[in-house]
Amino acid sequence: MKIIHALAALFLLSLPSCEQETVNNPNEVFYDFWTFVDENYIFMEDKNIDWDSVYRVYQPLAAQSSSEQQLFDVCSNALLELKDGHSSLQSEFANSPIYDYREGYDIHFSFDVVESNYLSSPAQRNGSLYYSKIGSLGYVYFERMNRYGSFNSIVSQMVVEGIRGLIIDLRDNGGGDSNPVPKMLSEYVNEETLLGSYIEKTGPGRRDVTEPLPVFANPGSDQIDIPIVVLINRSCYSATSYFAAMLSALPNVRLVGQKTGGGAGGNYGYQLINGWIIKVSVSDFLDYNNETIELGVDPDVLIENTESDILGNQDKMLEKAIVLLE
Amino acid sequence: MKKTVLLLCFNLVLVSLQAQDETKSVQIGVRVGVGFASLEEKRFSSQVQRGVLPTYSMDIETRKNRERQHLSINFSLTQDYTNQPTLSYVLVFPEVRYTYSRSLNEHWYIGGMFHSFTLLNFPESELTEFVNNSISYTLAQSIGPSLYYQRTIPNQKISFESECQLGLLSYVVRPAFAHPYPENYLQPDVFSPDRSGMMRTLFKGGKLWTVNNIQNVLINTSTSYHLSNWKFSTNLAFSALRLADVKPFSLHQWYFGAGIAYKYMKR
Repeated sequence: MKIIHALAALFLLSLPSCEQETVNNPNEVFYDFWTFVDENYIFMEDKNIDWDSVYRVYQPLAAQSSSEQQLFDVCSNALLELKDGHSSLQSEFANSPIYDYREGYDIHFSFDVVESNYLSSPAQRNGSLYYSKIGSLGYVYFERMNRYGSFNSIVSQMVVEGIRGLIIDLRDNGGGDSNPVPKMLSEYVNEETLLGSYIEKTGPGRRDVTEPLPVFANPGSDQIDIPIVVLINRSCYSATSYFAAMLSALPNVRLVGQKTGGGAGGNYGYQLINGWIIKVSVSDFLDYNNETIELGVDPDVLIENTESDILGNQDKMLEKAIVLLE
Repeated sequence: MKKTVLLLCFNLVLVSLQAQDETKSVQIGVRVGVGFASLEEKRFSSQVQRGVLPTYSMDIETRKNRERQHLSINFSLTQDYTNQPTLSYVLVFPEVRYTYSRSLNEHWYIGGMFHSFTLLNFPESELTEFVNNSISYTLAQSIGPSLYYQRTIPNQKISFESECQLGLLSYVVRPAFAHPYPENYLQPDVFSPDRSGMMRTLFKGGKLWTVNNIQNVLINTSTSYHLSNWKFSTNLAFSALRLADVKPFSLHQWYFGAGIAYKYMKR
């Protein structure tokens, strides 16, 4: 009988409650944070980040934290050392500042200026695409990298109507989903074309990554063969940089404007020991020359708008695209 | 080591089936219960997540001469397992257990078991998106020994059963390090960012693990009341599954259930 009582007591003690175990010891939280980034962040070597040094600088600050907010700020500042707009920390009471990849660049773009001063007719909208013509050129503006599935049918219709070239405007597009792009570009190639490669993290070590995993565009049943200029600026980020890099692999395509903001990483979310959520980049994208686009995609023709250009209703980047296509 | 364990398991599971033309008893039942579960999944959290899992089960047991076979199919689904502001996830947990055993005497049976374990998690946060690990899965197929004990009190109306199962060899499928992809999907000419063709590689992407890497235990006790062909039972079980992966996983669960079964004889 005593054994039964002992077993029952043991059982009751071992019953889990419905609460989470949260740890608020600053040292433990910081170590959990630091270790997660250390084992998962993919760009440590590409960006020459000394993450051990980050530990030496920020751990004492974390240990001295007297409030959750202070500890959160220490971790947020440590995360900014990655210089990665895909890395973030969230808690119930705050969001970490996101690394500003636009810093140091003059970025001036207004779709209103394009629509009011250059388009032959008001832009039509389909999903996140705005499209019209500029004389005998087609113009398609990607506001976001989402809901752009009608792109090929829009361009096909323009080709039927006799356009001589196409301007794809990606400026100020902060990203979205680039996964449909390889299939979408099948109409712009007449042979299998390497668009770029993914690299994925496969373990906790710095070099625990896959071989480059190539992505191709294979020729589709319909073919569109016109010269294309892609307008980019520093506000193009993430999936938009992927798109620009993939487009640059195509024949007849030129990138015009500013270097994009980069953002090659696909991010991975994780709950830290105290409940905060952290995200870091765990994959990379290489362009067709095998170069990472994390730091941005370079234009073939560098040109920028100034603030006074836009205030004066002039878009020099667009004008350059028109000249290149005429 | 793996070969020895494999042979041992198969010997335990595939005990010779001696054809004997005698009456077989069949028992079919359903059970409902709740599991008090403790889940540690290092793919998306450093915390031990605790919650209650409603579980629905179906059991089929057959007995013939000295042999006993038992198939148990369990299913759990919960929409918000953690009930936390920073992380919640849908948890889907189907499970199949099959045991084949032979009696050593009136009370004891020994044999082998097959356990198919699947756990799907879809982590979500109100604060942010989980992108590259928006789904986490663990599939484990284990084989190993099982031991079963039964005792019926003299009036034959109340019986007590207890069972212990231990997985010795397991085939485990888990996502690659920081992705929803299986490892063998991350190969040139296989990988596609839109995940097309991933299912084909999923089941080939597992690893054969022994008790060094995976610990899989079930201890189950039940008390039943027999009325004519019907059996009313309650059971208490403890199960533990622990994977020593690069990103470790463990699920411990205390389970309380109640069920009803119908028993009939078949020639």
